[in-house]
Amino acid sequence: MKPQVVLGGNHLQGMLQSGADWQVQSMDWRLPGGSNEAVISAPVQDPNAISLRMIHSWLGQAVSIHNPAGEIMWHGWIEEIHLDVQRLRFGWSTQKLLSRVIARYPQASPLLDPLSSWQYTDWVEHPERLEQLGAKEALLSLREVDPNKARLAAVMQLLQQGLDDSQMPVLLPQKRDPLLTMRLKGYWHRLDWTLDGEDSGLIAHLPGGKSQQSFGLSGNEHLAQSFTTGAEAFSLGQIGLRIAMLGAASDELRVKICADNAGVPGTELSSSLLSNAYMQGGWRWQAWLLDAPLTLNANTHYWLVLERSGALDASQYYEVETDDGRGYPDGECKRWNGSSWLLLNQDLRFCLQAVTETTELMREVGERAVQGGVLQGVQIWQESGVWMPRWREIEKTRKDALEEWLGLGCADESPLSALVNVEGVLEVFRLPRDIEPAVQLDTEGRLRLPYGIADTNPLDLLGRRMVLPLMEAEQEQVVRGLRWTGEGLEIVDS
Amino acid sequence: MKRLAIKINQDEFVLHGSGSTLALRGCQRHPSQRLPSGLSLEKLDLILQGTATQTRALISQLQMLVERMRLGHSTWLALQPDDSPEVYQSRVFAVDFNWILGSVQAKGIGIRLELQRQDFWQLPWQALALNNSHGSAVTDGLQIDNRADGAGQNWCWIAGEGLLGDLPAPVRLQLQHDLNPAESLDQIILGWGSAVTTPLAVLEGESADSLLNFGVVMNSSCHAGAYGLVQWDNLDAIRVLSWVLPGAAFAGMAGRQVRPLVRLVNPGGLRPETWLSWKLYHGSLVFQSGTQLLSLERELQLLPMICLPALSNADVPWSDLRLELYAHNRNAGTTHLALDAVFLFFTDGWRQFAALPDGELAFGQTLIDAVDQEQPYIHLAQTQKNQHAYQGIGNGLWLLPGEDHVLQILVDAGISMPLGMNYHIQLEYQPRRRMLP
Repeated sequence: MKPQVVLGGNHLQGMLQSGADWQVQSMDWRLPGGSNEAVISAPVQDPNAISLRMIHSWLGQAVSIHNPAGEIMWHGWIEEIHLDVQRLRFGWSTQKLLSRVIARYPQASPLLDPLSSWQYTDWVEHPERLEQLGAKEALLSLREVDPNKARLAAVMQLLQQGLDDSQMPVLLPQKRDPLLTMRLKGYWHRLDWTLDGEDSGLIAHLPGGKSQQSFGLSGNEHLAQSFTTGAEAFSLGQIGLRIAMLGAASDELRVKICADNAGVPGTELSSSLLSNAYMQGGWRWQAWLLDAPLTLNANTHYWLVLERSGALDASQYYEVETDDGRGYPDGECKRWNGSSWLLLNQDLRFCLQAVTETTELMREVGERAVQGGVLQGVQIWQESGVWMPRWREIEKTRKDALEEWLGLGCADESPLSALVNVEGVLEVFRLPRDIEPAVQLDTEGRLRLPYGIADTNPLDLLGRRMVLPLMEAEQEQVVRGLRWTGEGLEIVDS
Repeated sequence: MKRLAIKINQDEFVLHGSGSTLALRGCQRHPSQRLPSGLSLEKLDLILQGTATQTRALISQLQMLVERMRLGHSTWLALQPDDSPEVYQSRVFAVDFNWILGSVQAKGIGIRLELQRQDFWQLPWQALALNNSHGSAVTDGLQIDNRADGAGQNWCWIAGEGLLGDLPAPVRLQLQHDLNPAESLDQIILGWGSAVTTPLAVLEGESADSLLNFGVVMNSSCHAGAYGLVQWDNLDAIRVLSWVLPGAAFAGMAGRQVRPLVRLVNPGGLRPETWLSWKLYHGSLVFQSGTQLLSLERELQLLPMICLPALSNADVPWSDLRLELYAHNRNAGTTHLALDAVFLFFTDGWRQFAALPDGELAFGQTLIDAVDQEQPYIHLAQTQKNQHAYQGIGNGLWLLPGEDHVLQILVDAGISMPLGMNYHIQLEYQPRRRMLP
């Protein structure tokens, strides 16, 4: 089989020797991801005709590799270019290129925010490179609490390092005919160019901390804080409060979410218990997890109610941090004195986090990549049943985030995987994929199907069940990696 | 050997036969030798007899030849084996020469010329005789339609008998958009089958079986006058249509692949995110394809390849096959799939022309594609100029001497696939032979 290389831009052909064509040296496919890496090369008649400007325009461009019947078998973009001229190898790569940089520096007061110990600058962008290459982002983490220096560092990173795509020339052991070699990467790797982060999924009031309210003793039995949801429904999964235990209480702390009943807590909608073991060690942010996400309607008042599971005890009780200053504009704090709810002139410091199913998070991240022109679509074939906080700090790349969520698998413990298909659509599926019949590995290492040796469409083989030779049927494995060279297709990781 | 010459660009250096260089008294070919690089080593012993000036001039010519080769000038070895007018050529990639040991004598000098050339000889392009319902043995342009029902033929066949050469030969296509001024062509897809004389029967949507809500809609603007409409609201992958394929039609096709092209009716009305896949049963399940997302923007769409089982090709006939089309749409609601026809294209050769941005084949233009060229081009008849508008994908069309062949073509005009579209095609081939006397 002689694969055919099709370059995204027609202009890429211009400098090549007439009649010469690109040769595919190797290509491979992995799970998760799909098309992983490929190396192609072509002889060059006149290396002087290749300008730096041409090289710059090639980096990041789309390339597809087709089987003889025209189907795309590998799909990706140009990551690295090498030009061999006599004994010198020149190289250019996208690896160091950047079009957007953000910097972060430590919070002045880490106690203020239970979710992050960092503050972030605005994005610094290079418009020309953003236009040519798309978003290629980096995050700088600084130790000094200085927003101006952080921004300056981001600018310097973008301008001094992020524009350099050339590599040091390498001396080859012997003279060669002029040859252009390109190292290609699949579109899964393009998701490594952009950072993941999510602002939504948080209802919180974090200021304050100078004041406290006691509860769990006579006259101060329960505390309640009302809050208001935003313009969209909120799948509540986690409640955070800053709490301390006074004395040696041994009971647990319950947080209830209640509907609003004319300005006081009404019907209980859900609750969560925090084990006493977490209360040892003084003041800290504690998290109550709901067994199942609680859907809160948009633009609606709700209450969170804090109470102890044991009997009231004036010598062993609990305290929660409050804000006696700026106040929370969308709710109020009340105390239950045993017979009625009394208004307090304070607000609890609280943090409510929404959760989303991991496969839905993957869909959202994929759709952002669609908007950025990196992917063409997203298809979730299997919901995970696993829920994770929606709000996420800018820290990981989209690829890292996807791989983390895939690693959690499904609630029924079946593994999840994903690939970017030949049309650029991100598909998320359960392993093994639901494609029959299983691939047979013969004793010469070739993959066989009823129609013969299966080598024309490796992406369709990824994730399929594979029956090993000389083994019992239950020794089946899943095809997780394939590599093609001129010798043929081989399993590289299963 | 009647005549042997080296052609470099427009210049010819005759080694044997009429027009041979002064002072060259003989040229002896040795059996060519296959090199590890895939090229052939051609050894020629030249005998020089003449004045010192003539000999020097000839050696200068040889040195010039070597240098021009190094500069990349296109060089060919041309051989006329006998009195017939055919001249075979083989592209030369390297030339060297040296004295033959002990041959420098008063009456003459021996020189060993060594050329690394293609490992085959080829004739100039020859017209292929094409056959279909519009004509027999047509070489100057055969009409091809955009349908395969009673109202037209989107294919033609080529008789294998009488084809020259003994190696697979590249085929050059000329598609003349000269019959239908109403629309320009956008996507052009060619399938090529070897050792066959007719294409596989078209799978009509209206002839399918279905266990779902399925109906036949008569529509004179559709292929064979009707299409099949199937509706479902299941969120899982579901079999929507199936066809029984007569086993007799697949004789000799074990282990081969066919590429289905579907014509949809009103694809814009399809529910987004509808994926299709195939299952092929031959007794048991023998093949399941990957899934493919349907586009809402094209009536003519390529579907995943179908791989036929690798059974013996012996005389024992195949039992019938059952081809099932599965659909999967995970969005709530009812999906309506209006399927006009599925054309099964052979894939022994494949060429697919995807229009580049703003590219098209307008009325009066001719698309020209040859295997040996990276990209197809368009010839403008009015100005006699060429231009690029398409990207070619696929391994091209290759003719096997002695075998019959079928060429299938479908085109569209962008979103629509007009069944009334037609045009002319011409095919040429370049006969190749491994060895010449």
